[in-house]
Amino acid sequence: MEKTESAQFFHCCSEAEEALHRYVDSELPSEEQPALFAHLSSCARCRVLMESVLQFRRMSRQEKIAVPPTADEAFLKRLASHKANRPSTERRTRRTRFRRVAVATAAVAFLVGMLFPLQAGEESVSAPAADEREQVAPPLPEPTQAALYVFYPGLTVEAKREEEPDSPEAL
Amino acid sequence: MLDSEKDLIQAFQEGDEFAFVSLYNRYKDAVYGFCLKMVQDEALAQDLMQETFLRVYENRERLMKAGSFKSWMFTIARNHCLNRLRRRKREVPLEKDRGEEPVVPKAKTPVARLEKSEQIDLVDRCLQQLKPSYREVIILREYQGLSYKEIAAVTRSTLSAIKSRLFKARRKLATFLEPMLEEEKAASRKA
Repeated sequence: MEKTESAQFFHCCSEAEEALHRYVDSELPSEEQPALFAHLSSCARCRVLMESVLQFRRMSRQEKIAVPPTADEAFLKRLASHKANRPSTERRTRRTRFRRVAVATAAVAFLVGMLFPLQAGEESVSAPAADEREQVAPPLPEPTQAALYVFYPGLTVEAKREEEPDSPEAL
Repeated sequence: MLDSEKDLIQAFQEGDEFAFVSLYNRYKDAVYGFCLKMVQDEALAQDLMQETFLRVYENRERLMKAGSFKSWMFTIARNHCLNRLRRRKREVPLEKDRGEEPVVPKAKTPVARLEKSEQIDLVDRCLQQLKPSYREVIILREYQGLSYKEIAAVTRSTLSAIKSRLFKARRKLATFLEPMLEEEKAASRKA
């Protein structure tokens, strides 16, 4: 009941203005229209606004806009050349499939890379102590004397003496 | 009619070339009209219309629902127009200073006495005075007859934002037209 009473009267122009726009756009329910008309009969400002909205609409409808025939021809030519330069559907499907596989592979590699240090890395989180240095010994054909190369603390690679760059044979 | 359009759109999505040409013939004037009123340049509007339909043709797989074809197509046209307007603004930043900015005529002649071509010209000048975000909602509503909901879909905005923008744009237009309407009232009083 209270809603009906408030719908019969607009307290300010802003309320009426929204109803006015909805009315000209055929979006105002018929039960709300009497309140708008009542407001318009007493408010010159809203009447001018409504008149200008309707005037603009009348003027804009004077113009019939149509695409010139030359533009149609130009479009069809453009479409034809676009189709000619476009890769076939099969090729596009193949390319899309390849891209998907590449993306999936990259994602898997990334995940493995992220997860692996978590599983194996508990020990490698802290730097190894001097006596805990990791030693990598490549299989040598014969047990000979070998030189040690330290690449970084904790990783040692053993190489054959004859491959030592300082030896006169190697030079 | 609506069903046949749905069928047409579905056929287009499935790759039917004739369906695409039929859709082009059905919507080309609307898209061209939208572009023309947005950029106010016939050659540019033709180019934008063609680009829009090429993009529609190219991205048919991206259209999810046949019912949203019109909104989707206008969204593409709108994006093209806004990009071009932005580029033009960057390229010709001094246009305003050179005094080439169109001006709404001072009220001398009542609107009713204007020739048809003068009325069209006045409408264009009013539109040019609006910023693109206001211009697009006015064009979509007044020229294309889209509902608030459809305009919201085209511009990727909320319904309330669209209403607010449309009402503000109309208020702005009213400030241009009011003097002419006053003139008309004065003329009718004299008569």
